[in-house]
Amino acid sequence: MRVRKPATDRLELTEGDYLVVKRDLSAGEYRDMIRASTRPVTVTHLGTPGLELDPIAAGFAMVVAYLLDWSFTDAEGRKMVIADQPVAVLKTALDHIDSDAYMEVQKAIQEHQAARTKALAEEKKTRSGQTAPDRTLTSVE
Amino acid sequence: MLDDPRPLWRGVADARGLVKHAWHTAAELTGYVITVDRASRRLVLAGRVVASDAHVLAQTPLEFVIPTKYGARRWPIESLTVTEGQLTARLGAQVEDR
Repeated sequence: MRVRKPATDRLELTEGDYLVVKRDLSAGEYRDMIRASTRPVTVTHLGTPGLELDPIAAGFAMVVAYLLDWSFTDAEGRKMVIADQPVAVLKTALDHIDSDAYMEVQKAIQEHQAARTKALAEEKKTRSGQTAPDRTLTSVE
Repeated sequence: MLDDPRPLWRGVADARGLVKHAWHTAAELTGYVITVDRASRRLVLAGRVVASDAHVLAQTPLEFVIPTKYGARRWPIESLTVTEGQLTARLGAQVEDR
């Protein structure tokens, strides 16, 4: 199985707020996230192209990649609508929330991503029944 | 009301309607209109496809979503055909707004 059914998770925040996020990213979503996190640079004197990670852009790209909905309201108590909206609307909404609220969102999604990475690694191990064999030892046999 | 021949929904100007599978967009429509088929009394969606993803379009369940300033209006898609850039779908009852 190389394609997962899309699933979401609800992440609880402080003050009774919550986020709804994608459980996992597809290859295309992952690629978009990496593209938004980096900029092309020349890394050697031979002109080999490479990528430079922008940590601020990377955090934001991760939030944009995963976030689907939230419970956040504006100063008037109206829900800040992000579900089913264009990415530009989501980015604008993220720009308008308080910086500490943004950091809480980013941290929650980072933890979610780390937990999923771990769970997927475990799942892979269980599926294959063992870890990948060492290439050198295999070639000796 | 079901016999009213006027469209229940009509996208204005360049308004986009989306056929979605979870958060994945299967197709983007313009000029969409939702009417009631008099014979079957079912909701029928028609619109012009301006972008589509064949893989997502083949998944189930699909829903038709009209994003609005306050959220979205959504209908489950029961069946769907795309012919020469025109999408026609039979819709279920509108799902309560989120």
